[in-house]
Amino acid sequence: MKFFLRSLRELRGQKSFVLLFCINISFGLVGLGLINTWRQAFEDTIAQRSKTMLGADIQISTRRTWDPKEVEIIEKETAALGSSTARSATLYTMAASSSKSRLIELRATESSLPFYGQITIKGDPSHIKRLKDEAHSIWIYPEIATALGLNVGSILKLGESNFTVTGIIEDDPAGSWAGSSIAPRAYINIEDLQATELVRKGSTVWSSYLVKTSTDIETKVIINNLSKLLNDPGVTIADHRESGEQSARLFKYLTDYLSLVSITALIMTGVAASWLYRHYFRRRRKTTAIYICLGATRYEAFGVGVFQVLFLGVLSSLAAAAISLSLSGVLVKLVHDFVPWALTPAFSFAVFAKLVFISVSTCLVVCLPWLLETRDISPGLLLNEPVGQDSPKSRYRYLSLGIQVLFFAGLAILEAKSYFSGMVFSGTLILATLIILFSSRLVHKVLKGLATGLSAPLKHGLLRSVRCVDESTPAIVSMGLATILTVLLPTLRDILRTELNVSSDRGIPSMFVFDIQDEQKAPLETLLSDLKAQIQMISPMIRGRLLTQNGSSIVREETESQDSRDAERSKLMRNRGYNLSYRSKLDPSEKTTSGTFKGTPFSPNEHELPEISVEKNFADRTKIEMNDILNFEIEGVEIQGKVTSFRSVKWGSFQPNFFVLFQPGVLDDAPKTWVASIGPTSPELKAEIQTKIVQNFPNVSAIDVERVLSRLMELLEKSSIALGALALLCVISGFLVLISITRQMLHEREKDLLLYKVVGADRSFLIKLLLSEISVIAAVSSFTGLFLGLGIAQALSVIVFQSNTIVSPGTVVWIPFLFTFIAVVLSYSSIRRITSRPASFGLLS
Amino acid sequence: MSILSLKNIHKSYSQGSSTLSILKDLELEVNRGEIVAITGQSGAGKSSLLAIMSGIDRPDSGQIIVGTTHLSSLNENELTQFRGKNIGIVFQQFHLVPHLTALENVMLPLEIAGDKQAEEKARQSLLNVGLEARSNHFPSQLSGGECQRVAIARAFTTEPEFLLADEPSGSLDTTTGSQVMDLLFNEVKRRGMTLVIVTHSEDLALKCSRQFKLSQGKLIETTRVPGNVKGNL
Repeated sequence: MKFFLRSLRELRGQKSFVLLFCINISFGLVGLGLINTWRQAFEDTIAQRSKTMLGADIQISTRRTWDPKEVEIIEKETAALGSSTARSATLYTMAASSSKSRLIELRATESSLPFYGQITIKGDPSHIKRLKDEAHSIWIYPEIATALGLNVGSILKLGESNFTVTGIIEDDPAGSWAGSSIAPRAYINIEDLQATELVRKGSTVWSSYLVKTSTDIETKVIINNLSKLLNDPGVTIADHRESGEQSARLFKYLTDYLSLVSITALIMTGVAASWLYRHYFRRRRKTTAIYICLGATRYEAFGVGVFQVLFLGVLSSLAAAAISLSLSGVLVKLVHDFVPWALTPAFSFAVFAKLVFISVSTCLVVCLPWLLETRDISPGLLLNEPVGQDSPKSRYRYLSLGIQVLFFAGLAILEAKSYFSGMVFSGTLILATLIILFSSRLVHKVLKGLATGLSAPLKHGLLRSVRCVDESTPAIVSMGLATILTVLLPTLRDILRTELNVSSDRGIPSMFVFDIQDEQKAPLETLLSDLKAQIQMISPMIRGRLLTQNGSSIVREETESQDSRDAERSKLMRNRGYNLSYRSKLDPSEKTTSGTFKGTPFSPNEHELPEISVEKNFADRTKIEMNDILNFEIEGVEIQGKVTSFRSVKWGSFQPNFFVLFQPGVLDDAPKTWVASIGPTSPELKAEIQTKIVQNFPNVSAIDVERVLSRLMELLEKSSIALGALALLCVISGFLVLISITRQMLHEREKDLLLYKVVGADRSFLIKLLLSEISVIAAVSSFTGLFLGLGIAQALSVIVFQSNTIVSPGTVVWIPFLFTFIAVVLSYSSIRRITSRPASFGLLS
Repeated sequence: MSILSLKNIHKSYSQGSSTLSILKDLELEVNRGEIVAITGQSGAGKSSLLAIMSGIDRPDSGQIIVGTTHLSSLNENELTQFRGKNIGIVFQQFHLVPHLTALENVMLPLEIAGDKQAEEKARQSLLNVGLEARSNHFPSQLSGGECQRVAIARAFTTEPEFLLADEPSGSLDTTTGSQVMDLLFNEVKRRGMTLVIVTHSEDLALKCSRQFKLSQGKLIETTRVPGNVKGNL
């Protein structure tokens, strides 16, 4: 007990340190607190609503046509346990009123669906009306009604059938998560789907069986049995919870990236906390030596240090929890547009415990070098004050640095739930930090050379910042990182805006037409030619499934809740059905990264096996390697090919690109559909093309790329608001670090400043000296941050978006000026305070 | 001719609810070219007196006249500038600016005063204290004795009218302390300056032309040479 009291008594005398340390750590933790509150709310809501979201307990789905044997197995297995089953089909199609048309997401369901929840129709409080009551009736989302000028009773044409609008949907429990759908939804009875003739050979349709079970055990038994019996990666079997989580993938990815931004804030404030502890340790060293001199062991001294750090960690986490809780309302507003229903913030005990753990661990890790140094404190220092004792020994410094890197990299991997993202993030952060430090030293060297020509206050301010780089390093790193984040977000947004601009000359199509049957290709081309619409590219699309890879059967890999995002993506990619194509030459939006693309027709006499080109990222995720033999099944026919090249594809080009391309002459006779991209057109021509397509080719769908891109940009803007809020937290953290360090630095240097006064420096001299020093720190860090931010944006632009866009500093060039100005303004009050003190006794014996 | 004159100086400090009087109606007259030692027990107020003489601190009442200037008539900035030009101070703990080299530390008061020949003068000062070879070293690279020499060079560099020294050999071993004091005394004599030293050391005090003891807030002259007594007796 005395041990604890002694530890706390020591801290009691260092209120300013305790306050600054806890403010820094707690502020750094706020982002993670908010993200985890968000995640908890999401998980709780999924747990509560996943059944109504799916409308069933189990979903068994595929993008191809069901095999009769599979249907038999599903019906038999579910009937055996007395479960109810219903069919559902989802597809994108054109819907046309008398004068307008647009793409919609059509859900054709059995009338027994949804098993859970209820679709609410406007003006129909009874909610009991079912689609089965009226043949050829359709319920539509309000967006369709608005776009096509429809009301209840209006006629809507789908394919070859006319439907009567019998309801405009007010609330759909299966509402879409942001990014999961490209068009508003409409519901029809599945019995009416056939008459539309929308589903033809090769059409893009998601066919599902939805199952209602009585118990969770029954759910598990059915899933287990079906997984064994339907062992095809192209068939997805998921319970309601899994299905709910899958549909919110974009939301989860956004959360992952937000957590990485939050970790940046924690690292920044951790650096400051480490710096503050170093100064506290410098003061504490003598006290510790006295304790040891009076009989305390070194381990007790070490224990006191550890206990104090743990105490500070817990204190910081309490503050962070309180701030996170109070900001959770803001959080709900930020995510409102991503979630189909309201989220209730949930600051559970688990979230709190996690926050305490992260806080305590962070505190221990950032204070580690000096905690270790405590063990070496000798009472001898009471006799002779050693010189240069404020830096920990090299072995402690390097050991601690290693542990710190591992800790934050581990935290990034855990929070992003991805080894790849975590490592890329940590690597980038380490590299950025090193560049900031290197650049700041370089700039300092240049400035040092200029110092002699400056006035005395500026010269001394400059000399101090140049020669005491260690003192200002945390502020330089923190402000540099904050600037990088601030620069990165708007720059990336600008790049995306440029990349996704249909009207620019980047070759982005204005329309994307799909589900074109083989026999419709030529007339459609003629129609488009007559309308003077330019077909940019038309490609065949053949649905197939991968049976074997190098002779080994491909089995479905179920996603698990504990899977990392990398594993989850990899499994989802492997499990999906394959859209295959062939072409004689590569599109400008794709290029070979290794091997040779074979565009000449396959000749069985000349070649051993047809050659295949695979998209590089897809190959990485699905573990396909060069020279692998892939065996596909297309409509019952097996076709083998050998991987002879990898390609990179610029997906942002919105051209019909494919993960797997065969050499021509192999799939030419396979049942296929065609996808086409149409070049930039006027809105009038686009409307005309849509109308003509609906009239002449009712089963063919056309995506208005401009509309999709504008939705995508909207989503990006919303994401960037959430990311911006977290980045703002980093910026505030950066300034907090600067203020903390400035305060502490001025406090530590009070004697130096008094000395300047003693030798004749007046207050304005000192103010100029300190302001120039702060300006140099802020300017060096923020300008380095600007260049690094632009560099990272350019690298992401080239690597991720395969863009040729050259980043422009135009919209962000003001940031370093603003940051330097804010830093000077924020430091000014501390500077004024310290310089107004009269030269006092501090310097005398 | 008086270079420093203290008249009716009072100084007290609050300690919680009570007030502690350090200096009571203190008087002192120091003539140009004198070397004066002030001794006294710990806590007697020696450093407080030094702070008042140098204008680092102000008395509660009384007059301080340096040459012809009444320090009480100067505001904070004027006082600072006056001190920079006219008073040199040597501290027990040297108080060199750690991030400045020996040369830059010596140049500091000249630069603040806007002297264009700061470097030249500072180099000469370092040469005078025998440290020209260490001019580019930082304080952390110098020994205690060397640091005090730099501090002495800095105090002399503006050629002030008089010098104040607070236990100048207090942080040094006997031999080094003695060497440093010899240097200080020789420089003061060579330049014909006035020096006031606050010290515990009776031996050092005896080397001075006049000695005073601070006791109960007043100065008592203890100079062994009769006829020079001007303090409060």
